[in-house]
Amino acid sequence: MEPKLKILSDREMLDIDQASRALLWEVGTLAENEEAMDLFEKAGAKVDRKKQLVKIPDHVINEALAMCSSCVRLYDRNGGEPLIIGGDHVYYGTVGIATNVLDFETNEYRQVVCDDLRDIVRLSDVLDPPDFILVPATPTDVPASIVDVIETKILLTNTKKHFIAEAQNRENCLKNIEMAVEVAGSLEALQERPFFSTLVTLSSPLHFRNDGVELIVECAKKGLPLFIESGPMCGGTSPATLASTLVMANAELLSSFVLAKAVNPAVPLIYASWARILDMRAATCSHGGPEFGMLRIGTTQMAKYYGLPSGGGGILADTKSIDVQLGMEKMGTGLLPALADTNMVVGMGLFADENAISLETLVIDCEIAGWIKKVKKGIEVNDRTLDLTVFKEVGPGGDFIRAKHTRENFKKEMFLPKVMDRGFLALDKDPEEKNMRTRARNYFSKMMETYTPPELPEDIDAKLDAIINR
Amino acid sequence: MNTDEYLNKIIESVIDQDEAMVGKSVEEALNADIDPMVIINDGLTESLKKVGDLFAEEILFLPELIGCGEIVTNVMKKIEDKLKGDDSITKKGLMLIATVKGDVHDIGKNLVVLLMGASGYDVVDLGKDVPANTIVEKINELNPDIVALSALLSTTMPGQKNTIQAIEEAGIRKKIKIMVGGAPVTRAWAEEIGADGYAEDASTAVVEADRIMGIS
Repeated sequence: MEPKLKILSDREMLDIDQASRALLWEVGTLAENEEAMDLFEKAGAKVDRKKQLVKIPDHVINEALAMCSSCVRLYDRNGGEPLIIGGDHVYYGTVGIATNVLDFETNEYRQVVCDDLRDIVRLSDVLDPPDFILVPATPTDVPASIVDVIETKILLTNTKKHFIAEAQNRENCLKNIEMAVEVAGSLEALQERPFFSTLVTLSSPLHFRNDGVELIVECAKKGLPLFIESGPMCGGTSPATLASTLVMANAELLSSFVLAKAVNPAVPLIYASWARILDMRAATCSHGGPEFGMLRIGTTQMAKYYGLPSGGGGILADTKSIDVQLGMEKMGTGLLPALADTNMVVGMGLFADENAISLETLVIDCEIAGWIKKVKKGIEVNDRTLDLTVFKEVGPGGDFIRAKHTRENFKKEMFLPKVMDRGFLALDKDPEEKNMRTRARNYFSKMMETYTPPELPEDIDAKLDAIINR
Repeated sequence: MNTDEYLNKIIESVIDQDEAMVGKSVEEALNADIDPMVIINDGLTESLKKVGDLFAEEILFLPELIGCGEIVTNVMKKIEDKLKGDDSITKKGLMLIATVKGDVHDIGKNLVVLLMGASGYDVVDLGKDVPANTIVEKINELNPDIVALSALLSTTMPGQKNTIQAIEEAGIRKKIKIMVGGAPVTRAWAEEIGADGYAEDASTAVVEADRIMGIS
């Protein structure tokens, strides 16, 4: 069996479902966008044009949910098997937002530039996990109006893994799609094996921004997958109970699903959340505390309650340095969602309260995710793993390390760390020589020595630039 | 194929842990009239050095290191059997090895036995929890070149010191070289107790033995 973790009982999930439906009907959601109001109206919601307020009745939510699939297939550009987002699959990915990088050479914070994003994407390409790549940083050396499309180009040219793109408006969302079509060869080819999804971040409380609506509409029209995230902050943008925060996160996601399915019933949707708390001392949102892990189990359980593919923040940290707090936060917020079967855990590399990324944290997170994936597999108990033959061969008093059985099984049965140090205590050596950060740095250098990024024909590169600069 | 190509084939097949291919490559090299000692030293023993390097670089794991050691031991034995009576086979020396009194850990020590044997030494393994006076008796009886003492625990490390003292008191210290090893053992400790050599793992034990024997 695989280890499983739940935080909500069946009755509690039902209560949260009912409260979410009551919230969407009695309070409603703001939609300051004509197109969104039209779509909600078409779906059967009650729309107050003057107040721009949308109230969604139960049956409309049910109809949208009935159009959803229990799984979404996300492809890569290597022609491999897709990631099956749904069921008990757990995949890890990077995550965006960071505009600062803890410099590999100087160990000082500085602003992210395009070369940093390229390096982080390449490292993400070579490490396993990440299983997919959500734009892992935001460059500051290009005009803000086109930064998202430049990010997409960097992803297209430096990895063949599935990626999740950002877009700040309709125009750039369409440019992302256009660039992906160039690489895929045709829109049909892209639709058949979508190798990128689009990130939509909803705003709390209960408020559709123009950009979110535009992204949902454009991707839904083309049937390209959407990774939709709600991120209410308990005590800030949602009420100060964890249960109400789950209700808010859930209601926002359900309303966005109604909107997307009103555009196109076939659009693949992933229910993702960053429901979190507002830290009442620092006035920041916390992603490394126990509540973050607890809320992730909660949002994942709600996704599964509706039979939806799930995702959300995890393997995150508030700490501002690569320290003990980082390990504690990342392990806690990585392990809890995994044990709840969150299908897409996004957070690798990110730390410093969503503000920074580094190559070393990405390597460390790869190790943490590997550790967790091992736990997820559970202990295999069957005739093969219980075979008495090797006991008989070695006998009492012998050692198993020399047995052929050991050589055949140790790699299957044991997690083989890449950067954790398990050597003996060498009193005559500098202990810093083997600390995790040093080992992560060395591992990065070793991995990149032989790395070559995927190649794209030169004319495609020029076509991508033309789309960006148009 | 020239000599280097024959030897490289042996080395690569040891690293691949392909015993049949190692045997075949050695056979081919012998048939090509390459000196058996060259095959042993520059082929088989050299392959274990490479395996030791890969182990140190954390590319190969312990069971694989042992697997390679066993393959080389088996193949080496076949060459020796084949050339029995031929004086072209010479050993680097005789090593007497033991885990000291009070310590029952022998996985690391067994690994040293395996790799030393596969690297051209004759090895006599006295086992674990071996009292100092037994070691002294065996030195007198077998006349080894090297005595290697293992201790895994910081609490049993003094057993290495006591054994060296017993060897000195028996007046036979100058006849032999002494090496110490084990997880808590450091070069500083080795020097403090008057050992000639120290190695932090089994692969470097071979290199260290060669060094103190004056074999480069």
